[in-house]
Amino acid sequence: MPIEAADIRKEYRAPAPPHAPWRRGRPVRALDGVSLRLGAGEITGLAGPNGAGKSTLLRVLGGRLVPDSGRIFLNGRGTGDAELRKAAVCAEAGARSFYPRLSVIENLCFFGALYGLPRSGTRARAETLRDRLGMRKADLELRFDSLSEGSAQKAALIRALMLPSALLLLDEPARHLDLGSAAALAGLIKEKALGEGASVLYASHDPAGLAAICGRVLALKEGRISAEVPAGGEPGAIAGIAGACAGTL
Amino acid sequence: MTTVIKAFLRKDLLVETSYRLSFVLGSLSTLTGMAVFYFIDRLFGRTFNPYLGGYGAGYFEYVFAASAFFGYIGTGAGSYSARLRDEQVQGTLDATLSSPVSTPVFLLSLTAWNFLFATFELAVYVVAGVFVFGLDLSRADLPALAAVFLLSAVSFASLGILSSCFVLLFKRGNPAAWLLNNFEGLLGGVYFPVAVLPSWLQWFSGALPITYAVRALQHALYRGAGVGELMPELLTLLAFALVLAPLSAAAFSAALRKARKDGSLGQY
Repeated sequence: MPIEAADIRKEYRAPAPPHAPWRRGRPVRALDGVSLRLGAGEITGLAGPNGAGKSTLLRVLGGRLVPDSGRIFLNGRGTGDAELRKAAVCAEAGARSFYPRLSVIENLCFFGALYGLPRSGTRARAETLRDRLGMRKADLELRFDSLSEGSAQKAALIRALMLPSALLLLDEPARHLDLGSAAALAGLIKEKALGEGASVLYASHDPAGLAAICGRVLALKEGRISAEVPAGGEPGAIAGIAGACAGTL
Repeated sequence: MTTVIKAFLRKDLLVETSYRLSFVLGSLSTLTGMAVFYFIDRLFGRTFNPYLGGYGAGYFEYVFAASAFFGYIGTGAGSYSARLRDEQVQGTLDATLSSPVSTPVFLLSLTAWNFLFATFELAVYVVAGVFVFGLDLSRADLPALAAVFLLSAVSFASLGILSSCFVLLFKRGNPAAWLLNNFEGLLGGVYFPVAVLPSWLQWFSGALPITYAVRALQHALYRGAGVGELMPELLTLLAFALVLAPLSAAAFSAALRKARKDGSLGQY
């Protein structure tokens, strides 16, 4: 499902300083008029230095954060944050979005149920994804708080990839993964886009990873899309994406 | 909707049973608390009778029923903010509320386990009351009791949802929970009849749903008062429910919207 964002703006107020909790925090402009279009079945990269607004943009597109202004269209139709939450799935970094005292599989079944997936379907899908991502079989039955960082990240990826979504938002998905698992993840993301027609937005600081998987990469700098870099095997793509990651474009 | 509620119930059951000792100690403390009131009744019971005459119950019977009832409906008042805070601290609140689950279904599911467990505790109370402490519940009017429980549960769950709005917005420091915890028991007639209070405090008692709920409960349980006789109390509880339920749902939606606007849903 194609998604389009027009002139998205978001300003945060930083928390009050600890030594003066009565003061209002400084305003911080996270997004300053971002417009983009993600086609169905397309994998788009998002690169930029720390603080450029990548995570904020992912949260806005996922319906988790309400922008101050701007509009988002799904399939050409203006949409609100509730519709975005139905359409989008966000893969976030492992540990703090899972129930620590539940096993991995119980966590996955719980979140699957929130999206209407039956337990049997979740188990089967999780097993396939576990195998593809190189996660040990026994890890699915372990309590979440006993997992290594890499396994926790794989659990987060299994959750994101098993859920039905028209829009897949990935924030540093290859973090903590070994090379083999990262390659498997790239394959799974391509299948999600090409096989299921999902629009994918892939935020990362890894130019080679972005170049290998994305058709193009958007450079985000100080809350604005400052450039669009071709990827997907284009000559010199990695150098261009490295510039986007460093904020020099 | 049932799939989501079942998923929450299963998840909460698994989390609770992973803390084995807490479950056992919680049940034991309920019974030891009751034993304290039993012996207070044996020591001073007759002294309290003038205030309790209208209820057809001694002090132990009175406080036993009110405590069991308060424990049950207090689940509604207290568990929303507690569960929400748990989810907030674990970091799962943002992930759960980012799913397509609607706010009303989320609210129903969030405390489903607490209500189920409170029902179990209530059953333990009743069994212990009858077989350990020798309570006579044979005159209880069941339809009236059901009406009291239902209307009170809606009112208290609504108060709980209102209270959880503070958790959503301010994380810690919850004036609604503070008021509920400190004044419902004191002013609502849970540990003694409201008639014991000075008249100016009784005026405040009249503004609390617990006062009507406890009064109706005692009459239905020990005197067998029916729905007709308890109509004033039941209508008052219905009025509380009709006002508080939509108010709390609207307040929660507004608080959630504000948290999503501020980006503070994942903060704790």
